[in-house]
Amino acid sequence: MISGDIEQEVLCLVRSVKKDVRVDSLTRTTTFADLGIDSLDALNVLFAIEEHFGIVISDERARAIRTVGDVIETVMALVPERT
Amino acid sequence: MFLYELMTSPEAGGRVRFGGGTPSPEKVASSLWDSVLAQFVIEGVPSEEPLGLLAITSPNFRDGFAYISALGVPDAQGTGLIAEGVLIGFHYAFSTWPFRKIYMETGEDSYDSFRSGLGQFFVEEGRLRQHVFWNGRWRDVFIVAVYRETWTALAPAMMGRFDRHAGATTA
Repeated sequence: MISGDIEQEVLCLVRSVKKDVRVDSLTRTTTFADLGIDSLDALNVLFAIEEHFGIVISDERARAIRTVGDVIETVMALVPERT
Repeated sequence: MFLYELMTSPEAGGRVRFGGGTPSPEKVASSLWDSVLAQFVIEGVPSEEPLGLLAITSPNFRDGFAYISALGVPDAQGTGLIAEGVLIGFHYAFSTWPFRKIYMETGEDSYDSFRSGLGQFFVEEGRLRQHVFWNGRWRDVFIVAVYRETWTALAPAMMGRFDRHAGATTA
C-alpha cells in the first residue's frame, strides 16, 4: 500500500482510467503492464495526471514511465512544493 | 539510419513490412513510399528525438477510405507516445481528405497494445484467422476502423489535450 497525498491522488487517477484496478493491490513497483494498461490507457493516465496537477510532462519523462512509482516520482518532481 | 533500424527491427517494424527478413537499405528506402499518401516521423516533444513513423496509405477516394499504419521504437511502445502520434495522424487524415473511415490492420500481439479503444474510438471490422506466421506460430490479423463521425465527436477534446505542450514549459 502506498501512502501520501500525491500517491493517493495518482492512484485515484490511475483507477479513473482503469476502473477494475484495486488500489490496495498497488505498489510502487506495479507496472502498467501488470495492470493491463495499454498505450491508449497510458495516454489517458498521462492526460489525467497533467490536468489534475496542472503540469506538463515532457515526452522524455513520459517515455521513462513504466511503473506506478515512476508516475509518482514524475509528479513529485514537477510539483515540488507539495512534496 | 533511424528509419532503416525502425523498419527492420523485429521489435518494431521488421515483422510487419519485411516478415523478419533483412532487406537492403535500398529496398527499405524504396518501400518507404509504397502506396503512401502522407507520412510523418513521430518525434518527442520538446527533444525532437525520432520515436516512430506514421503513414497514411492506400487511399480510395471513390469509396472514401484509407489506411493508417505506425511503427515505434521499442522503448516508446506502451508509453502512449506512439498512440498520440497515431491519433494526430487520424486528425490530419480526416481534416485533409473526405474519408468516411480509416482502417488499421494489426496483428494480435500489436492489437493488445491499443485494444482499450475498441468500441470507444474504433470498431472491429474483420478478423483474418491464422493469417500470418510470426514467432513460431500462426497469428490472427484484425482490421479495425475509425469512422469520421466518431472522430468528429472525439477530436475537439483530444486535440486540445495534444496542444498541452504549446506555449508551455515542459520538464
